[in-house]
Amino acid sequence: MKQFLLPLAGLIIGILLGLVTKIHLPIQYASYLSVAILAALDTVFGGIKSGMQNQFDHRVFLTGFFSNTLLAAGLAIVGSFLGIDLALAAVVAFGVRIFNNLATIRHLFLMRKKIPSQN
Amino acid sequence: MMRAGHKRALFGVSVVLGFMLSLEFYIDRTPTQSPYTSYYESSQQLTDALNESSVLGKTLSRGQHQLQALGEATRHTVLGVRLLQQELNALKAAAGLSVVKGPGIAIKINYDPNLPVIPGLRYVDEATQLQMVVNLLDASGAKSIAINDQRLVTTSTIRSVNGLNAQVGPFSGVLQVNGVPIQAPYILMAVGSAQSMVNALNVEGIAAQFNILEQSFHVTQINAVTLPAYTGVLPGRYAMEVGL
Repeated sequence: MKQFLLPLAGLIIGILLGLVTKIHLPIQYASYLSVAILAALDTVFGGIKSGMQNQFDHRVFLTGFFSNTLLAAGLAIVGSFLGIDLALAAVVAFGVRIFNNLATIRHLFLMRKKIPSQN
Repeated sequence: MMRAGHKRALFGVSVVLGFMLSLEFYIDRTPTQSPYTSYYESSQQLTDALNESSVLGKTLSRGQHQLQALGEATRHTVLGVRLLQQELNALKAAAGLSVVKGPGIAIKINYDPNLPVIPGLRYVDEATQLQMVVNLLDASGAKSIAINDQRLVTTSTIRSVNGLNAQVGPFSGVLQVNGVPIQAPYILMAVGSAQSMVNALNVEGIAAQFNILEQSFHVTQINAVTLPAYTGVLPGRYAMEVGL
């Protein structure tokens, strides 16, 4: 449980920072931010999964976080210029990955709890 | 035990993610055209009622003035004749039968006659397009409007005429205004508050609507626009009322 305290504290600090700075984002950029958040969540869940599998590497995690986030937002921007809703492609791709990661995390968590002797 | 690098990475990513999430709070996702509140509706109704009251007051005053003028005219004096002439001139101006001069705008609408037919669109109804512009100008305070020197009055018509020109393309190229054929380029002249009319055209995005069909739409503000008088047939010229 202690391992979740640091990310939780970071999350709260980040939210407070955002609320204090009061940066207003125009509605036109809302979809880009949403896709970027989805990509970031995907990386976070991937990181949790890797941590539970003892395969966590902070370099992979950091580069994955920033590259996925920027790429997703970039795809959405390019899509808006091309007239294709590429944000939808990112939503589907990251949505599937998030659910897969969640399923793996759930399995790992249940296995640890139920059959501790096997791990 | 977690390594320091892992901790820093997790913490940094969490802060960034939290920051991104908080940005969502400041995005105003409510539609720009929010439904009217009862307060807004009430104040709008009050403003309308006040405006209407003012207009009705002016109409009453004008009516009283007219009654007085006609009363004076019945005396068959020079003053009476002059008053009748003034009344006639005022009615002529209101009916669009006199030349009008004042500040306003000129709109030039044109297109390339060699353009191919737009797929899925039989032809562009230019009459509807011009009616839209005329209605918008009227609503934004135009006092008088003319299209290619055809003055618009209450009985004016704008009609598309197909088949009068042989050119193949999306536009008919010929319109009838007041029953008189006119050809592109169409020049709409309007007397009134130029800024108000330009603003109305900009707000409605009229130029973009024309440009999307490859038509040019140029608006020029002019200090002194001169509009010709209406010369078409007046009601009652041929058909006379019986029993009056």
